Amino acid sequence: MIALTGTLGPATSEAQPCVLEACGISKSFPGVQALDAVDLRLEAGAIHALLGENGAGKSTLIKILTGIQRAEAGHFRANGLPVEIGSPASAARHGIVLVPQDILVVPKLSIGRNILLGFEGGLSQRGRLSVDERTKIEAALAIVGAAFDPETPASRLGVPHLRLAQIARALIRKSDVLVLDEPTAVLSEPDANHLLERLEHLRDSGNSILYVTHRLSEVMRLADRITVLRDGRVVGTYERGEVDRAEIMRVMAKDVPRPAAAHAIPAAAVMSDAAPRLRVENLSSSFRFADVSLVVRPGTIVGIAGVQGSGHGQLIRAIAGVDKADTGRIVLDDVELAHGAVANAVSRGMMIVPADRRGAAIVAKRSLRENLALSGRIRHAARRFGLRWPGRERAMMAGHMRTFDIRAVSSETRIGTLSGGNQQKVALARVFESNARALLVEEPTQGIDVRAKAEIHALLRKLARERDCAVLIATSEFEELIGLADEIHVMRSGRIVATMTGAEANYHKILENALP
Amino acid sequence: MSSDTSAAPAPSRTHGVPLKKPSLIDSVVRAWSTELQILVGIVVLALAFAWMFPDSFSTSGTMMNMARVAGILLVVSIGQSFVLIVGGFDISVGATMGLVSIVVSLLLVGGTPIGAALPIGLAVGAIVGFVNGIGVAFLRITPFVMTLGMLTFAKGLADELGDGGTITRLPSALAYFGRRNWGVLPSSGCIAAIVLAVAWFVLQRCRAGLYLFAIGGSRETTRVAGVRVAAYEIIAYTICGLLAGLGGIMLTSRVSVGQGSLGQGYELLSIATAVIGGVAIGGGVGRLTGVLLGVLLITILTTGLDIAGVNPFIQQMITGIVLIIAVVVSQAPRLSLRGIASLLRNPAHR
Repeated sequence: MIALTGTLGPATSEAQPCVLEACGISKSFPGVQALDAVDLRLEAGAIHALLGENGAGKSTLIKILTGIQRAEAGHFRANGLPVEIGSPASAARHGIVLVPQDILVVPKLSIGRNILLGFEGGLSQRGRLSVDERTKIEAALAIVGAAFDPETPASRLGVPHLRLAQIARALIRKSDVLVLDEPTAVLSEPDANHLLERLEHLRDSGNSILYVTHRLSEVMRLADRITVLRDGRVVGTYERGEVDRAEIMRVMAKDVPRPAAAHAIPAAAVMSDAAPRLRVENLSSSFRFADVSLVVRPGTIVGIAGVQGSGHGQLIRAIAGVDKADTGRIVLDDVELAHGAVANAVSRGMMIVPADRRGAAIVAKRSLRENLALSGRIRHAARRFGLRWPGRERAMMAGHMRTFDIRAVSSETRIGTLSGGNQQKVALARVFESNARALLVEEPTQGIDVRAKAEIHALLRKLARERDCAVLIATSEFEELIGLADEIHVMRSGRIVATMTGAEANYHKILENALP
Repeated sequence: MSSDTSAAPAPSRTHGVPLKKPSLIDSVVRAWSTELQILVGIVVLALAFAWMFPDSFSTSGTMMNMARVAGILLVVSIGQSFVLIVGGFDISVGATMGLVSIVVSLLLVGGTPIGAALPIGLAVGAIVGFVNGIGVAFLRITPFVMTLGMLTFAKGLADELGDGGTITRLPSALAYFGRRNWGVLPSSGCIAAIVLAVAWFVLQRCRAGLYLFAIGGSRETTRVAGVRVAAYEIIAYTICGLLAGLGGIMLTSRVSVGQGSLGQGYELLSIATAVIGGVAIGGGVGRLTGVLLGVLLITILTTGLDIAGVNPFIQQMITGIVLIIAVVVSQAPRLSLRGIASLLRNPAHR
């Protein structure tokens, strides 16, 4: 047994050539050294986790490994022999396959057709799968542990299934090295667990897996080897068990002191008995959620926790008026709001920051300043005579950039070029600027690095405590509600199944109620 | 190459975002690269034509004529830009010009005073645009189909009203809206300048402008932010129709004839000039300065080719090639001014 682990131990034998070795990889973009002489060794039958805050160079590195971008310096060796990786095609020849973070499918085709897209041999029919194709796809689906039929239309599958199909698609090709970019980012806890189990199976059958993620708990459980990037450099490489969570956090974080704001405002138990700001009564929407009632008081934060598919996102969008609900009442400041009337809700002071950041929270092509000003409730000083005054808007944006620590060259920078955390801060700055009376946030820190996460949480706290705003957060990352929310509702299959105060809530209590 | 960049002390990079302020020249070139590119094109073309035809190209008569032609195209292109910015496009502007030409001509010939006929003509254009807007924003018909239907309808209506022919003997007062001069300046150019100023004001200083760009950038974001998206889309199409109507009146004045087929070609030319000027098909991006320069480029090109005696079919071919080259150049950083500028500043950098 001991001897066995010794031979299986991934990094013990330096003599054994690795599946893929990258040496001295450097890449710079105008003004930024994205990667600075990075070394990476990927071994067969091992899971290698790549960690780092946003902007540390993780995505650049995986783009170079998979041939999407070219390195400026450095070289690669596959199984000990020097190779050239200059294009996605050459990466594929060496068996390096990327499973991207975004799930892209052709909804009208079957999932089997989607999995095979681009790899059909010669005369394949558009419609049904041939026996050969079917066998091939079923084999790949079996490896990832997906139970659905290859003929199922892609549009009928949910995100967890599509993610499995995406990995199956990678497995259809020669895939010695699987590069996974945040595979669990949009998955709920149980679905993520299922995926991780499958990755362990793949590892045990000899695949080499490079795994990029923000979720440290997954890394501690899964990774045989961990590489941490910071500012484009490798700042640590560890074997399994060599390092603990706290140490990784310490290495990942930059030397700059963390903003004190994160803990400046205590999460006091302000269960005030002020009159409710927002009241939702028996809100229902067919197949999505049913009979939801809740109350949010000014100055407090209420959380709705739910796993993917429990309806918490749809609920919050329906309250905001982005989607339509069927029955029930939404009352803001004793005024009942019409269903599906988002413009009306905003003009009364209820705003939403949706989860789909690029699609629904910001206008990626426009500047920070314009994204800030995109609100009918902007302060009067910026709107004298009802007109726009670019100078005032710039000053306003500059002020928010300072107070919220938004990192951008200027207020005229296109917001699409910023990291997710900075984009989210601009979206929240718009809420501050608009003097929102109620704020609804869906997945506030999705895809945001640890440090920016804490800053976003501090902003939400500040909004509630200092601006007396009623804040409602819907999230599938339960741990972010603990210490942040004053009251937590747990949602399961479209209904609120448990309610607890922030003080009595803990991760397990939420989880055991949330799991279907 | 990379070894000396990595040996140099690391620039101020925090969080992967370059926080160092770029130099003034750099940021100006960066922000105005499309305009600077077209400007280079204009200067090159103008010098070439002036050198080849010193007697006919560089005369005040030619300049005046170019101002008249450019004025009409600019008015229509500005209207088109509104619709492009909001993420649509309008191929019915040429037909709208023809319809307004016929309506105004009929009214004038029938004895309606010019002070009533022109506003009615503008209103007809605005109504055409408004209907386009309703179709696109509320009924969610794709802009291509909606405005194609409108194109066909307006053309039919114009021919029906005008019996498919031309209307002549228009009152001389109409000449002040496109053919004759205001003082020493060509009226067409002056009208275009006024339209340009008003359009700039709407896009830069009114909330509507912000919303139009935002809708083109992301309709869903703008809706979620509480903007009544459909209303602003309708406004954009209405402005486009109104300005197409104005272009139709100016063109009628210029040729002194009312005709249903007058605006033919303007639909594609207006889209071409806007796109050359950096307005993105798909919406969200664009500046009126770019549109103005795009119009000037096309006008100088066609005028020069006219003087050179190149036949109109070949002119069309050349215009098409210029459109494609302009878009390719603006998208290829190495070919563009910005690429050249950065090479000049720091040849080792790239």
